Amino acid sequence: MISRRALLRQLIMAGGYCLLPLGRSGWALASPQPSNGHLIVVLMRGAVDGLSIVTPYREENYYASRATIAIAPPGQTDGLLDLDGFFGLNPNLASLMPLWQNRTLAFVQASGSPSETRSHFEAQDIMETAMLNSAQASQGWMNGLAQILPDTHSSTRALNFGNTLPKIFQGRYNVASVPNGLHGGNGKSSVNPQMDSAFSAMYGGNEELGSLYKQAVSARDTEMQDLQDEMQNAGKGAPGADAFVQQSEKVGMMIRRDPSIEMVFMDVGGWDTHVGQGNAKGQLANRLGKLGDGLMALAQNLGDEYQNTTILVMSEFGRTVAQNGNNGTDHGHGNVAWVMGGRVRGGKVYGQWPGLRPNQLWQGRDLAVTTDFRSVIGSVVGGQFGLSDAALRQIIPDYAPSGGLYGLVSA
Amino acid sequence: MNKRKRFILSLGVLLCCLPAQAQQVMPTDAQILHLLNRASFGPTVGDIDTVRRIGIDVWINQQLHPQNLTSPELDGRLDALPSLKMSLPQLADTYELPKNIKDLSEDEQKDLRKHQNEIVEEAAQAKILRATLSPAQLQEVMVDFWFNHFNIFAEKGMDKWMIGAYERDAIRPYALGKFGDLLNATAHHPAMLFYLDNWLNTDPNSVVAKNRKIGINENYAREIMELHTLGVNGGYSQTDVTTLAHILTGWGISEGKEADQRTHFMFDQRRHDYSNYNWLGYRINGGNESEVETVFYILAHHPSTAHHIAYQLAQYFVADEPPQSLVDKMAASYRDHDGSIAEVLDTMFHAPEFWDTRYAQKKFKPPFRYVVSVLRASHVEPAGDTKILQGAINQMGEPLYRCLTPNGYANTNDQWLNSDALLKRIDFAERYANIVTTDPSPALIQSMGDNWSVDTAKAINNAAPKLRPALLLSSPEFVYY
Repeated sequence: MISRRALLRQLIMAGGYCLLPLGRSGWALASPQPSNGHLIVVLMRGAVDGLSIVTPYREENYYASRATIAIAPPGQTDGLLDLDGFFGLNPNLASLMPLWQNRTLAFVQASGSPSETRSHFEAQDIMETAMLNSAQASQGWMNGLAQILPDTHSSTRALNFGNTLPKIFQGRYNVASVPNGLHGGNGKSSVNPQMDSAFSAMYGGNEELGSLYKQAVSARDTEMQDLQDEMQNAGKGAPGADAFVQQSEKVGMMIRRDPSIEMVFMDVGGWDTHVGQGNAKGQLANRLGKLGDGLMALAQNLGDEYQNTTILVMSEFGRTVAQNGNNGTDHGHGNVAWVMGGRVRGGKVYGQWPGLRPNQLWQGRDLAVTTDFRSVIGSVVGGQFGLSDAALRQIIPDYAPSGGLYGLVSA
Repeated sequence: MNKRKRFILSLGVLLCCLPAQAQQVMPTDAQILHLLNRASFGPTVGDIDTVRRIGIDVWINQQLHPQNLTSPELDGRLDALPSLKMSLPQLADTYELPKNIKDLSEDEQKDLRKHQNEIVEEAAQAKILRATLSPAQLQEVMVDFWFNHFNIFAEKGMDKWMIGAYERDAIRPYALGKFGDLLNATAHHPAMLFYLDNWLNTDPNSVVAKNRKIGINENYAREIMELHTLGVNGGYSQTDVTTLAHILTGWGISEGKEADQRTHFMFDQRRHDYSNYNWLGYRINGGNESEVETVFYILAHHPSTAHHIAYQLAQYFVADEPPQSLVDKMAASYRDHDGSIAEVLDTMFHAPEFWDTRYAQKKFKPPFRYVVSVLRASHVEPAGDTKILQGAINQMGEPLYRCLTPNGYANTNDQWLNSDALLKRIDFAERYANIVTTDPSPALIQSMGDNWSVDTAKAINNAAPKLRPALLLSSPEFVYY
């Protein structure tokens, strides 16, 4: 008798079809689902220092404000990688340079929230709801997006990676969560069928748990079957050291295998560098290196689907232009957003640069915001999914298109 | 053990009775279950009877003043964990990694790190044991609440070996005491000053700053107002943050070679900014420690703090979006009783809002609470080193003492209730049912009283006996509280 795994492999080889769970016990061949393409959002929680990512090396005040944590200009030892003669990329992100060169990587410098808050948690809420008064928001903007995109009848079109459901995915649309780590849960493929009917009956009277239960079982089937076989086929042994790299590989692979997954959210923490930030080497450098490797792994594992994908990387606010008393930086304002993918018009740093002279700083200390983060989200989402401004305002109530971002992403 | 076995005998009877009983739920029992769900880590066998016997008010009063609620059994278990009783210098001597660690072989390094990790595992084990076995349940609930409120992270440098002592010395003694004392205790603890970097915060014009090239760090100054006291909308500005950072300069950790020289709080006059400042509408005259203590006093007695603490407690104990009327009452109680936490809780337990049925069984148990409530309801004592339980809590997303960010773990549904979380509860329930030696169903049914819904009762009656424990533990009545 042929094993299910072997059968799966044969079916995969047949090509042109993807496998979808049918009910919970059987499998069926299905025609490829119409997909709207893919949006992957990565939130760097903790407020990353954007001036160390896309660095304005021509600004005298950058070096004057950062005696020990500045990154040297291009051409010097451990120097920046020149982007456009004014900005340079952190050398620890060298793995992303091929994407810059093939023009599928762009940045929006000096973007962010016009809110004055320097609270991580409030600012993240704002970024995840796309509303300045986030307390009044009833949903996260990615949940809103899942509600307005044309229905593809996929139960896993929106996937959250992590153990908790972040604000960005909260709302009326039921988002499936898959756990962190390679083999989430205890590695078993699903709830056993005998239990399943008992659970379905028990949750029948509870709308919330009933629908979450269906979602959960379906998401786990997709993940476990598609992925574990694939991982073994690809001969990938032990997972990499860094969780984000590992998670990115997984996301890329899942989307390539099941293009009906349209929206993925991931977050990565550890950017709150109040002490000993380092320059081209050190704490921040190491983390950025891993982030870059993860993003590159994501792009590679997406395969051809990279052409239909846009990846948006954001952080809740930037950090002080001047270093603080402990070779670190404190909570600031403007930051850089990263946009990559096959539909991105890249190789360009977007946004109006406000300058770093003392009189150009916001509240006398921080990089000013010249592009509202909601314009960046709108431009990315609108471009990726071909949505009108009116449609975008359903999920970003105060969305205003920014002329400076014209053509950033096109459907 | 004998007691536990008795429940097996009554299993058949209880299950037969379930549907009939579920239809005529006694309101008193529902109230008692609600109280036990919120003021403890969930009912254990006999709890509902006890509360019914002594009365709700007496039970609340005992829990608010738990001096006489002790358990020799628990004390015995805790005695087996050596790090729990060590002073900070002893901890440093026993667990700190040597400075030359990089010169050692890889195996030696690994061993040392493993040895150091034991301290977090012991802290986590103690937390699970106390939450499960302590009769002073409300106190343990409040230790959990305040630890998250004043969170520190075990994976940041020396906080790894200080984390248990921090909870023991800065949180536990004040969990039901005065908020001002709690704030002061955390503010004087090296673990907090290290976690939020204030030990480095130095007047930039001081000689120390110039020699060591260090200066202002506003991390603690911000979080003490945003998270610990006033709340993010508590009426402070960025200038207040920067000013407070200046006022807090020199507020740090002692220095020296020996463990007992570098493990205690120290106010370093050489690093302090003695300028006068306007802060939060107050005139703060430059001075020594008393200047900083004034600032803590102002923060602890600020009306925004009263509101913020009241809101957070109401959210934790009553509803994710607590009713304004309740928060107002609790904030008034805070102001009237000099920030007495027991008084604020007493106000809350006696407010009609707490007993409003619309809030009962609506919060989804976060992982730690879920696992502990399983142990309690099934009347199972966590055996051995509890590593399996720690692993399960970890997998569900709440690794104990390892929340990176200073806001601690959330207790609201928007954080915890999602499809994967539900499936993980089911996974745990199934594994748990397989590893416990006696069938936990009778104890579970008994613990929860006559509070099962018709759907759950039916599903359980229709299921094969071996599936029942997992069903009970994944039932709506059990995953919510």
